[in-house]
Amino acid sequence: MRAFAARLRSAAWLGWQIESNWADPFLFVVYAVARPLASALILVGMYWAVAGQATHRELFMAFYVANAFHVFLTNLVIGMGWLIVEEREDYETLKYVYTSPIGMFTYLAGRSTVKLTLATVSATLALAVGWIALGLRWDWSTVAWGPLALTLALGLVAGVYLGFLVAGAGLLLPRVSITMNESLAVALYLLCGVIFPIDLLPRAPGRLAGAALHLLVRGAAPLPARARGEHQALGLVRRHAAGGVGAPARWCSCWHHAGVTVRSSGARASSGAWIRARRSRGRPPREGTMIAHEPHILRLYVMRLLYLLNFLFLAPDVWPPLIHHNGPWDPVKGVAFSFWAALSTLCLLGIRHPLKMVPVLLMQFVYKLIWLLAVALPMWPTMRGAELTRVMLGGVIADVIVIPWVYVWITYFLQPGDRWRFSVQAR
Amino acid sequence: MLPAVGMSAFVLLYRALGAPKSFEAVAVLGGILSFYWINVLWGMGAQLYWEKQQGQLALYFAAPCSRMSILTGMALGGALMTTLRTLFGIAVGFGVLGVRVPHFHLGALLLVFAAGLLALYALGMTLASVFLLYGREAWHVSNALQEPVYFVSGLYFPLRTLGAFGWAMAGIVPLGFGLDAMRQVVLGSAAHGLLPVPIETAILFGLGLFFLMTARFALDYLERLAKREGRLTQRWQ
Repeated sequence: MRAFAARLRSAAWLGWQIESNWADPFLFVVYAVARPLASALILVGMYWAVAGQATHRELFMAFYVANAFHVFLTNLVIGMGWLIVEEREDYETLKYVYTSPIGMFTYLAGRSTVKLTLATVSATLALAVGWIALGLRWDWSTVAWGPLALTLALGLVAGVYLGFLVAGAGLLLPRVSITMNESLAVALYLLCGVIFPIDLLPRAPGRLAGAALHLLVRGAAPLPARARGEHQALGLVRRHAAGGVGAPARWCSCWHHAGVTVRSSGARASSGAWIRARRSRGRPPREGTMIAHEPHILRLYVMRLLYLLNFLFLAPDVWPPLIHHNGPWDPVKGVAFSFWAALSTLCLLGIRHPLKMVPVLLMQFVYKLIWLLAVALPMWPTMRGAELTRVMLGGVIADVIVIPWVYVWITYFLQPGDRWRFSVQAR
Repeated sequence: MLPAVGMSAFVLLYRALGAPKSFEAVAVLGGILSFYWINVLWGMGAQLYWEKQQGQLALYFAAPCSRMSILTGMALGGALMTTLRTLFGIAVGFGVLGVRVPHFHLGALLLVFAAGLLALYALGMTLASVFLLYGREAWHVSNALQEPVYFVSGLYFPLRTLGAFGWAMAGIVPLGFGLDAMRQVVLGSAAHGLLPVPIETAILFGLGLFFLMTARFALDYLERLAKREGRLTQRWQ
C-alpha cells in the first residue's frame, strides 16, 4: 500500500511537471482557467443577449452550474485520452512509462489527480464568477448536501474509471485517438444535455444516442428532473432553480450514480484487459498467469463468511415453511421459496469452494439487483422503508464488495469458453 | 462535424431559454464560422509547427518557391475544404435543428464572407510563423485561447452584447467583424449588429491586407533566423 502511494505520488508530481513546465506560473494559471471560464462566459453572453426576451430565464442558472461541473467530465474522461496521445505522439515517452515499474494504471491514476485538481479549480472559479460577478445566486438553505456530496464523489470515481476506458481505447486505436478524444468531448457536451434539456434534442437517432450516453456518463437522474435538463451534480440548485425534487429522488439519483460507478469500474477492468492483451500479444501464455489474478486469501475468507451467513440467515427462514406448510401454495411464491432453499444449500458448498461457487454469489447479486430495479424502484416512496428493500439493498452492497470481480471478468469473459465441437479425445 | 455538434448545443440552449428564433440563427451562423476559425488556428497556424514536429519543415525551406506562396496555397486549400465541411454544419443547423432565416441578399453575403475569409486566413498565415517561433508556448496559448476567442468574437451571441469590450476585441480578431457582418446581411436588424455592413466589410479588407503584410514580414524574419541559427527546423527547439 505504501509502495502504491509512493508510485501514485510520483505519477502525480510528474503529471504536474508535464502540465505546467512550459510556462511560468502566472501564464499557467491563466491557461488553466481561461478555457472553462470562457466557456462559462459564452453562456453568460448568450444570456445577456436574450435577457429581456427569454421566457425561461430561471433555467439559466441550472445550465450555468451544470456547465461549471462539466469541466470535471472533460478533464477526467477526455483528459485521460489526451494523456495517452501526449505521451505517445508528442513526447514519445509512452514506452518508457509502459515498461517502468510504476505501472500504467498507477501512472494514469496519478496523472488524473492533477487533472482533478485543475478541474476543481476551474469549476470553483466558474461558480465564484457566477456568484460574485454575474449575480447568479442560489439558496444555500435548499442545498441537499448529503446527496450532493455522494453524487459528486461517485461521479468523480466514475469519471476516473471512464477515463481509464478512454485511455485504454486510445492505446488500442492510435490512428484515431485524437479524433476520438475531440469527438467525445463535444459529444459529451451535446448528448449529456449540459446546457439544455435533453428532450430538446431532435428525435431518433439523436435522442436515442443522447439517452444512451446520458445514462452511461451521468447515470439516470430521476426522469422528471432529466426532462428539465438538469445535471446530475446539480443537487444544490435542483430545487431552487427547477421547481423541486423530493429527497427520495435525490438519493435515487445517487443510487443510479453508484450504478454508473460500478459500470465504470468494469470499464477500468476492460481497459486493463486490453492493455494485458496487448502486452501478451505474440507471446505464448505463461504458466501460472492466472495465479496473479487469484483473489487474496483474505477475500476467500470473506467470501466464506458470506456463504455462511447466507446459509444461516436463509435456511431457517425457507426450509421449515417448505417442509411444514399447510395446504397448497401459490405456485409463484413456491418458486421463490424453492429458489432460496436451493441457494442456501449451495452456499454450504461455497464454504469449501468459495471461488468455484462464485456463480452462486453472482446469481444472488443479479436477482437482488433485478428486484430492486424492477420492483422496488418504481414504487420507491412506499418501498424505501420496507425491511425487504433493506435486505435486498444490503445484499447487493455485500455482493459488490465480496465478489472478486477481476477474477469473474477474467474467468468468464476473457478466458476461452468451453469447446463447441467434439474433441479428438471425445471421439 | 465536431463544431456542428457544439453549435447544436448552443442552439438548443436558446431554445430552452425561450429566446426569439433569430438567436438560433445567430448561433448557427457562429457555428458555421467556427469551422473556419478552427481551420485557421490548427490547419494554418499550427501547420508549420506540425511539420517541424514531424521533421519535414526543412523541406519547406528547401523548396524552390516562396514560403508565402506555400502558405497561400494552404490557405486556399484549407478554405475550400472547410467550405465543404461547413455543408455539414448547414445541414445540421437548417435541416436537423430546423432553424430558419428570412430572405437575404446572396451577393452581399458572399462579399462579406469573402472579406471575412481573407482577414481570417491572412491572420492564419501570420500565426503560422508565430507558432513556429514560439513552439510549445504558442501551441498552449492558442489552445487556451480557443474558447476565449469564441467569447470575444461573439460566436454564439451578438457582439453588441459585450458593449465597449466587444468593440475593442472585434478589432483584434477579424472573426467578430466577419460574423457580425454576415449576421446583419442574413438577419437584418435582428442581428443586433455592431457597425454598418459596408464599414465592417471595409475593416475586414483592411485587416486582411494588414495581416498579409504581417505574415510576409514574419516569414522573412523566420527564414533569416532559420538560415542564421539553423535550429528552427529541428524538433524540440
